[in-house]
Amino acid sequence: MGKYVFKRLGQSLIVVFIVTVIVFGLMHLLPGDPIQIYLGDTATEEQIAYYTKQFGLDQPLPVQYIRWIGGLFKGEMGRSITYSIDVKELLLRRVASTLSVTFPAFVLALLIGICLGVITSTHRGRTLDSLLTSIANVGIATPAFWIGMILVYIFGLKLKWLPVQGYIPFSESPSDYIKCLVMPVIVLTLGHLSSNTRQTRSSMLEVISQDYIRTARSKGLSEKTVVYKHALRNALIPIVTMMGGAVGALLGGTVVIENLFNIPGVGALMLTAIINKDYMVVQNVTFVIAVAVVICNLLIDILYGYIDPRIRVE
Amino acid sequence: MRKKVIAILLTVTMTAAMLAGCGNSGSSSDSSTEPVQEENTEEPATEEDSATAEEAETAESEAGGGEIKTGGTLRVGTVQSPSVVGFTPEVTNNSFIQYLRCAYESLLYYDEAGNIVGQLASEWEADADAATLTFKLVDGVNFADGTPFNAEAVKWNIEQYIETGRSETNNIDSVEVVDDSTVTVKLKEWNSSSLEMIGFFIYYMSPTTFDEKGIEWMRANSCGTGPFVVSGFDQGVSIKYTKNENYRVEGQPYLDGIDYTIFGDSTTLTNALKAGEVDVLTYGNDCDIMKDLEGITNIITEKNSNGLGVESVGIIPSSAEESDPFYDAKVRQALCYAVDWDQIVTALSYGYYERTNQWAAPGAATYNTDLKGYSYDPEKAKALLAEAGYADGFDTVIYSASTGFQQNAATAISASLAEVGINASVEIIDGAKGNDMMANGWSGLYWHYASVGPDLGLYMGRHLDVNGAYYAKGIQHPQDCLDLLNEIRAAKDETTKVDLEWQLQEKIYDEYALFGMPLYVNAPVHMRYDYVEGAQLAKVHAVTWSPATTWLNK
Repeated sequence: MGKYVFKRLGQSLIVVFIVTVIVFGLMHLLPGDPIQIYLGDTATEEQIAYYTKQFGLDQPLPVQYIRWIGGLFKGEMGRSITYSIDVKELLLRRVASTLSVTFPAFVLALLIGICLGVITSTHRGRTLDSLLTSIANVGIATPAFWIGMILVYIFGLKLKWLPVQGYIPFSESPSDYIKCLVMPVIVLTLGHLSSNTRQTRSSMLEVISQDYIRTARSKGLSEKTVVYKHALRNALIPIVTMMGGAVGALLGGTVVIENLFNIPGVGALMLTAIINKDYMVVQNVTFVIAVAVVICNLLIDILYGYIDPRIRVE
Repeated sequence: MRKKVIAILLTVTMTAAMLAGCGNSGSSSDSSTEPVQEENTEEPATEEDSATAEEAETAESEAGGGEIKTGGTLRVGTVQSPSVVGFTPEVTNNSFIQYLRCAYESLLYYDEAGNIVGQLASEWEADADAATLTFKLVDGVNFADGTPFNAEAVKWNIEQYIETGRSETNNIDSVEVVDDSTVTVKLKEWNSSSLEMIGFFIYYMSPTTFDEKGIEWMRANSCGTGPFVVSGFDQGVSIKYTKNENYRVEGQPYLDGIDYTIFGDSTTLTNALKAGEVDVLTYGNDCDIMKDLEGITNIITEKNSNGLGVESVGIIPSSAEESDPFYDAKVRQALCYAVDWDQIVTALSYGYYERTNQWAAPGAATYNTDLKGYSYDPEKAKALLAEAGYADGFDTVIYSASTGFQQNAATAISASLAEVGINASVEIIDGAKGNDMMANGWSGLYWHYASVGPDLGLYMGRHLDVNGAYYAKGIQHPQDCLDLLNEIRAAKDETTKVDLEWQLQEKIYDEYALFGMPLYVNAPVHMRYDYVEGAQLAKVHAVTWSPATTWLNK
């Protein structure tokens, strides 16, 4: 196992390195001068030169790349052109608000999705299965921003039960924190719930048709034990794989939801940074997400072995 | 059979829901998709007026809604996101002046008629022959840290602006402290725009606090003479201000604080205003926002009427290269005749945008009422194209932002041009690409953003000068126009200056059609609830307001 983990870590480093080169290259290939964008059209040539030097953008590209990577080893992420503060500080502020929305949505979507998936698979062909599957299909097809706009209109503008936008940190006001997050969490949950339900249903149907499930039933085990102890555990592998893929969205936030509800998260930060060509923000956020995804995928690979001993790497 | 029925029912429900959702035409015009376009403004001084700005403001606010109530926090929503709020030389965008005016003040300000009045300066003298500007400062003014605002502080601040290369101070040779409350600015050469550039666009920080706390602290905080101080700054998210207890006008500010929330999406901002989560919405220029808020009786729209600080938006052809069809003035004129600009602007802006056909807002001093302009005449357009050797037309591109109005207008313009043989495909670009084109040139047609405050020497110069900051590399620079521009800058009195500006308007638009066709005046529009009194949003200058005299009538 140790050898496997070490090998995977080595592979992950290569993946992360390639990601840094690609994101650095792509950002510098985009048209536009970030200093001119930052200063606006009142900028004089002297100002542009002054700030270009301040941000180190007058250096050759390989030097800029090496400085960036070198800074990462020291825990430094450089300075945002758009916001004029350290990227690390900016990212830490934004990650908290993003996770406040994405983590509850992720957990709810997973738990409810698995439950619904189990229900539909065990009631296959019946009315409940048809109804829930249809709702799941509608959920996948319906854009999240549309659901969000409907919720804002009903609960924010008409009923005035919930705020239409904003994010209040928990430390400032727990009740306002929860009120602000209700709608965005619902929207994000619905978006992932449908795919989790369908995936779980599909896996469960495959497992339920296996011989060992029939054997378990023949042995007289209760349906609950058959489904949750035997069938679900075997059906979890593709679901766990799906969880790994969701890590990127968990950290990156969702741009649409954050803009719609004015949540100052990582997604909104990235959108602004890409538009303004804020190199350091885009490069560093991409790097952080890439590292998180590779680590998460590695952990999931290890987790497979505990879910299903047959898959243990040895 | 049962399954078929359920399937049909679900399909009908789904279709109905989709149609209901798609019926919402609210488009989100995010300011971040458009290139940065606002320039620092400056306006011609029509007279020297010793009346101080706060006297005008106090009178105005008291005329507002009865007895003034103190206290409360004003909640403002905006899409304008500054990266710096306190180190004033780095606050370069016009739309950020709304933040500067909370914590800082300038030597000069304006009244509602657009005349210069004093703010931190009680008197001033512009000597064109000596190329000097002398300011006498108001007595007894302190910074928020209690240190005095004096001539040394003025000199120090101006030198900060010079060091960061601000265009407003490019023409300054030296700053002399005459006495504790008098400062003389010596110019390299006389420029008729200098009084406003130096008087209005420089905001004064406390040198003492700057020395103690440093530039990094100053960027995210403030220490000025203004009515408020920054108490919290989360870049891209919010800015909070609290009352400056050392403010120079007794009894002001009326508010306890101001909370700005930055929005990434203008639809969300509009919803926040409708839900009462913000009291004021600034920069709601988009016609879709204005339409969305139409009919809500307790929300008042404020717009500038004296032309100070407004912009225009138009279509500008590339004319720098000889191989470009638009190199020939006749082709540029054909462009102007080929399209019914009035109809496009009126229809696509729901009537909210005001037309202009030159580098000025209608009613401004520099608006040439004798300009011939171009009526909609496709036959004349074809004749001009034939004269220029393009009887069979040619291909070109219209570059456009993805905002609702501009994208729709580009499509309509393309259709009109096709009628005269110009095949203009529409290409949607983002803000970064747009800024790149503005700086380095383009080929075809692009949107022209121009600050049209009544001082062509300053604002048109940034486009017309050979080394101008924007659009300059994509257009020609006729020598007679450049000569007129220099004469405007050297003008020693306002009457001569305005006369020359009218001549330049005629040359640029009637003779050369150099900047193509301006479409509309893009004046910042601000919305407030009716209980917000005394704010003077855009009243004296499109990008300013009066935080000191604002109060909440509730």
